[in-house]
Amino acid sequence: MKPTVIMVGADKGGVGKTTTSRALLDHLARKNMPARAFDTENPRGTLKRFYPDITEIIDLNSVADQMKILDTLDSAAVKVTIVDLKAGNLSSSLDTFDRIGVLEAARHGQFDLGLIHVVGPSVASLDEINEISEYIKGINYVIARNFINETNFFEWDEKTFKKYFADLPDAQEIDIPKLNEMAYEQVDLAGVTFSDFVDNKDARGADATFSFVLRGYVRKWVSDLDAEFNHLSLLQNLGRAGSETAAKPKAEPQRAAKK
Amino acid sequence: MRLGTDDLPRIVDTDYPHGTIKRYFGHECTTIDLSRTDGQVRLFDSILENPQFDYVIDLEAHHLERFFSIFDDIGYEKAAAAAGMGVAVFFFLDRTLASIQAAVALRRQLGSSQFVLVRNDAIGAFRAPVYGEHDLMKIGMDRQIRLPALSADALDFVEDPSFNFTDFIMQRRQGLPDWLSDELWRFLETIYQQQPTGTAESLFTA
Repeated sequence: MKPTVIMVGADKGGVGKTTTSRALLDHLARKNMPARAFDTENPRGTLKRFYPDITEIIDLNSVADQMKILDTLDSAAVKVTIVDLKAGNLSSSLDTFDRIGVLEAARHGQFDLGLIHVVGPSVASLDEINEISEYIKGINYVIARNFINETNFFEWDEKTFKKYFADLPDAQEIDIPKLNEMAYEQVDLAGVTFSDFVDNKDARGADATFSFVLRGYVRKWVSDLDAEFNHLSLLQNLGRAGSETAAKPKAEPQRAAKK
Repeated sequence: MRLGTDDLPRIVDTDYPHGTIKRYFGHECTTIDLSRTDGQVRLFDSILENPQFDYVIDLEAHHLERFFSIFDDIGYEKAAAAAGMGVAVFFFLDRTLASIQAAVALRRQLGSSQFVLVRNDAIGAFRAPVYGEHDLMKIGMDRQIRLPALSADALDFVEDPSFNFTDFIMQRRQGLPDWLSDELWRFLETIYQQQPTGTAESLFTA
C-alpha cells in the first residue's frame, strides 16, 4: 500500500479543524485503517488529548520535525498519516511543503497526498482557496464545510462558489454535519474519541456512564459523517488498498464536487 | 394503569412550564422541557435507567415531530426493547387530513412499537371520505380506540384537578348525581370494551 498523507488545515481559527481531524481519525479506525497523527498546534496539541497513543506534537518549521513525518512515510508501520495543521498556518505550511519538494513528490506518485480544507461561512474563507490554489494542483483537495456549530453558510451563493471553484475541477466537497452542543461538550469534557463515547467507554477503555441520549446524538452524527467521508476518492483509495490482499473490489464511482 | 398495577406509573408532562397533566397527578408527574437537550436526557436516560416502571409521556403536539426524530436518531426503540420495555404510541387523530398524514408518517417511522389510533368523538369524525379513509388504512395501526363524547357538564367535572377516574371506579368518590355517574360509567365501559383481553400486558411488555 502506498503511503498516504492527509493534511487538515484552515487559515482561520475556530472553524472546526481539529474536530474534523478527530472525526477523520475515528472514521479510519472504524474502517480498520490504522493511522498516525501529527499535531502542529505546538506546544499545546489539542488532537493529542484525544489520541495520545497515535499523535505526536511537532513544530512544522523545524526541519527535524518535518523529517519525522516525511522521512518515515515508507518505514512507518502504519501507512496513513494525518497532519493537523495549526490554525492560520495553512498557506505557510503548504509553502514549506512546496519548498522541500513534498508536493512535487506527491504529484509524481511517490505517495498520495490530500488536503482537507476546513472553511467557515465567510467570503474570506473562499479567498483562502484562491491563495492556496497554486499549491493544490495535482493533489486531492477537499473542501469541508463545517456545520458542527450550526454555521449558516449564507454568504455562499452558487455564483460566488462556482467562481472560486472554476480552476479546481477535481476538488471535492463534504459537509461536517451539526452535532448537538451538549453532546459535543460531553465528548470534549470526557477527552475520548467519538467512537468511544458512542460505545460508552472512558479514556482508559473502562465502562463509562455517558448519557444514552447524548451517545445517540453522537452515533447519528458519526453515521452521517461516515456517509460524507465515504464519498471522498482519497479515502476510497485507502479502502481499496487495504483490501487488495483479500480481493480486488470493483472501483466505485467518485462523487463530483457537490456544486 | 393505576388500577392494574401496584406500582404507580410515572408520568411525564411535556407541557413545560405549565404542566397540564401535572395538575391531576402532582406526585407521579414530572414536567420536562423537551426543547432542551438536558430535558431530553432527563426523560430518555431516566426511563432506561429504571425500566421496572411503566411510564406515560404526555406529548404536546408541537413536540411530536422533534420527539420522534430524536427517538429515531438515538435508537431508543431498540434500547427500550433491550431493557425489556415495550413502547406503545397512542396517536390522537383530529379532523384534518394533515393529522392522518402525520399518523401515516409516524407509523412508518416506528419499528417494533405498537401504534394505537385514538379517535375522539368530541372533536367529530374525519370528513374526507374519498381519500381520507383510504389514507387511514395506510396507517397500519395495531389497534383503534374511540373515545365517546362527554356532555359539557360531565367534561367540566372530569377536568377538575380533584377528579380522577381511579377514585371514581373504586367508588371512592361519593355523592355524584346519578346522571353524571351513569354517563361516566358509560364513557368508561365504551372505552374498556374496546380493549382486547390482556391489553395492559400486551401493550407494556416487550
